[in-house]
Amino acid sequence: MRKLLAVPVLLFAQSTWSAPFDSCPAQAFLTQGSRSQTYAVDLLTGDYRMLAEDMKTIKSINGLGFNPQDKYIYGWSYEFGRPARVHSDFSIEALNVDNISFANFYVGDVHPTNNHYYVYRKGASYGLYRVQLDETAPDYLEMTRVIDGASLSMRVADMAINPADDFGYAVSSTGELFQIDLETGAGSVLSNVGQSGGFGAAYFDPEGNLYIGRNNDGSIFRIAIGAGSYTAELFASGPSSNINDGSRCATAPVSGTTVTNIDFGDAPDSYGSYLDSNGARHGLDRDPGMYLGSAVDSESESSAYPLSDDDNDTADDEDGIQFATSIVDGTMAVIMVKSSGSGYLNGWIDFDSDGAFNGYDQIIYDLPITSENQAVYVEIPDGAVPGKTWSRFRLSSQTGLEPTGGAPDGEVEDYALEIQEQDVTVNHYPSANGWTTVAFEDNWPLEGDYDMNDLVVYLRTAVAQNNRGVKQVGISGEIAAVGAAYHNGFAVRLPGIKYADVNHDEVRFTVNGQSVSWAPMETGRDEAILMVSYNLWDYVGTGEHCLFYRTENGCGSSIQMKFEAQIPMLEPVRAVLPGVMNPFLFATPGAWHGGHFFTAPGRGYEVHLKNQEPTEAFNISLFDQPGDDASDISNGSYFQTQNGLPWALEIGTRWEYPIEYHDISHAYPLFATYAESSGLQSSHWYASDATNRTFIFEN
Amino acid sequence: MKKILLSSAITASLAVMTGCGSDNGQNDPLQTAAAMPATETTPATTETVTGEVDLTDVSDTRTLSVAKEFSFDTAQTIDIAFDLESARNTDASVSICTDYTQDGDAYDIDYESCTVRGPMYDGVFSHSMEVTNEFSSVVAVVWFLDPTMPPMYREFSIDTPLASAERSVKSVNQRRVIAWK
Repeated sequence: MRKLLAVPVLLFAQSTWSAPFDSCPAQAFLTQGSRSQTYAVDLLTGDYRMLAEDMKTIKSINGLGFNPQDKYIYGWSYEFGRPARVHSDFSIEALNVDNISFANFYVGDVHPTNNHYYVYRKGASYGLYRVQLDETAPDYLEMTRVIDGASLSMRVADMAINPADDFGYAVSSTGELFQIDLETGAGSVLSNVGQSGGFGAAYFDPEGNLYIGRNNDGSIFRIAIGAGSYTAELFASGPSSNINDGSRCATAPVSGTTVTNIDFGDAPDSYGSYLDSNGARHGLDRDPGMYLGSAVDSESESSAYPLSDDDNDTADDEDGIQFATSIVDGTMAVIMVKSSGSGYLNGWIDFDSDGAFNGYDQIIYDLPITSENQAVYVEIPDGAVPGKTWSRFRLSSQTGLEPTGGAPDGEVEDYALEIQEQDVTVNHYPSANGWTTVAFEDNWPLEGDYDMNDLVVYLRTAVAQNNRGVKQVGISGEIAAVGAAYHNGFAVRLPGIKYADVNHDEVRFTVNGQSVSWAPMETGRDEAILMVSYNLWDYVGTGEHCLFYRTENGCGSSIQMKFEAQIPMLEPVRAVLPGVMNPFLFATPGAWHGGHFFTAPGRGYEVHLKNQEPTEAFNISLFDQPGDDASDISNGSYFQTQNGLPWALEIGTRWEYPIEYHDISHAYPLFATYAESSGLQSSHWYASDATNRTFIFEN
Repeated sequence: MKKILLSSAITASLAVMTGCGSDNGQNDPLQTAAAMPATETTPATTETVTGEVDLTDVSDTRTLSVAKEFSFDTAQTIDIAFDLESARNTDASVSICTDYTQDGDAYDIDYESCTVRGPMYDGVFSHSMEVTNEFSSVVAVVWFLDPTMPPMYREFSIDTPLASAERSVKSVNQRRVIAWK
């Protein structure tokens, strides 16, 4: 009889659970993130698709394995601190297992045949454990230790069990391939696979091939253990994350009939992107030389927004279309088209933002295109709805293409864009697609280690204004690094804009493409302040073996938090907004912020760029705290030491920041000259040829 | 090279004594486990995830002396004053961009590098923009909304900015102006 937890507060509130998976699927499952999401990954191609965007867990689930016996996935729930069963709808059911280890696990797998779930943690107090999953067994759901984690000592991020020989296998961060006898716990190093990194996802196929996914870049390697080869061979590229775990029905073959030589669009699927939606797609075999821009990537399925592979891998093939002018309703616009060869171009803009490319959205009809860089004039109709929308462009030898459906050759490229009102000028900072960086130390009023990576945010802004003032502010950003144990939030004040100026009903703010649960503009304030996050650790995670998020060697991953805000005004506002606005770090309310404070300083604690005034929420008395701060508010001097050193910097590029604990002056030797000359010398101190790469974080 | 391993058992005391910052790996005793990274709070005698600090890498930045009024500004504000006789009778659109190469009489421009885009009326475009310090020139393009009229290009040099005391309109008399007549 299945045992369920009897304490309702610990259970995921669900009166009936969904069925197990109905088959042993060939696809691999990849569960990622501090708030777990699960993807299906085609190991042949690396193509991936979201299966479960919200597994309704407030923490991660890790150490996952697929049980071919009952066709459930089992894993270790960090929310419940014990094993859990994942159902076919990806709901998580905690199991009534007595956690004799008193610790959580991220290394685990289910044996393909003996109905046991194995977990491992290094250390003498921990080790290799197994949990009986056979409901008929007398030791059902009992956790027993096979061996201690000192006798079996491995620095690994996942393991997988080989159905061909019943051994467990794992690859360490330095590439050591471990073989584990699951009966005795004896482990040995077979070889070095020739690759390093955090391998957080591991899978087997029936032939004894081990597949390992590397966290920082999503590379999938195959190790042909069954054939006696221990060298990792790059097999495919998948999604990256610093919290990764893989599960797979190891008895299902990997090979299939996947067709990969196709180009798909990346717009949200409402526009027809996925194959099931008859998404726009172009075959790449007939004329490999015909594409927009300078490259096209082949895939077996769309990576529809927000999963666009152009954001997640290093090859962005959306490079054939540029908007030379703003897109303004009731006027002409100029679009630059680059092509590798001749063909016919069709294009659409979703003018009414209804999520579809309708007939009236078409702007380009079978336009002959050559390989020259061409300026194409298009009419933007009256009544085009100002705001964010999508566009699609298709090049092919075939004419009469619709916005969806297949084409024998060429390429489709989808672009997000913003339709502007008439008479509006838009200032982009640092540019339409560029990034600036704001980097913080979070130990104010005490000096930190000047690695300037306690918080690193990439930002860009777009301010739309007419001759009466600012009409809308757009802010986009990415949380690049959190090299800090304190819990901090991040916000941006809009100088000169009042809370009352904002059209709050029309404010659009998303994190990772999703709306948020809090009011984007901080309530109870006179000023307009965009609250990006009250606690950045809600969205980013450290990953296995790491203390921080993307600041330590070997702890890379994709960016885990991206945000976007459109803040319209009720009426144009006379204000002069600096490009980077006034970004600041603040202490998460209720969170401890070091022994310097007797109580949590909370929202009243802020860290700003040097000489940037704090907000009205700042606790002014903090300027009187003992420490290294030498602010002189009567002279407009803020957030600097006696020597004029800052706690925050803006760097006008997508900055490569120092690795943990390394001073910015060591990573960037010209920084000192720049600082002490007040910018007269070495103004390009952050240029790539001026760095000491030994001290730069490499993802 | 002297190194020290930081374990969760000792990091709290280090933070108080030296003010090293919150990037010393210590656990937060007031936070719930739900808010913390995956690293577990474990007894000091058991294995914890550790970091290494190279103590000979003493922060050299601390030894610097920087002018109080220097705000590490990374961009300069530039005023734009275009007044084109040839554009008096046709509406046009102006784009100013930082990434470009000259291609004969024209320019090959990366329009994703534009810092400002807006309408020009009666040949006049008056505005301002911020350009980051790494750029020493920009190109302006005037696109006429009549497709029979070719675009006009003009490149402007931007001097390396002088040391600025403030990044604000108060220093308007120190701002660069790009003018096109």
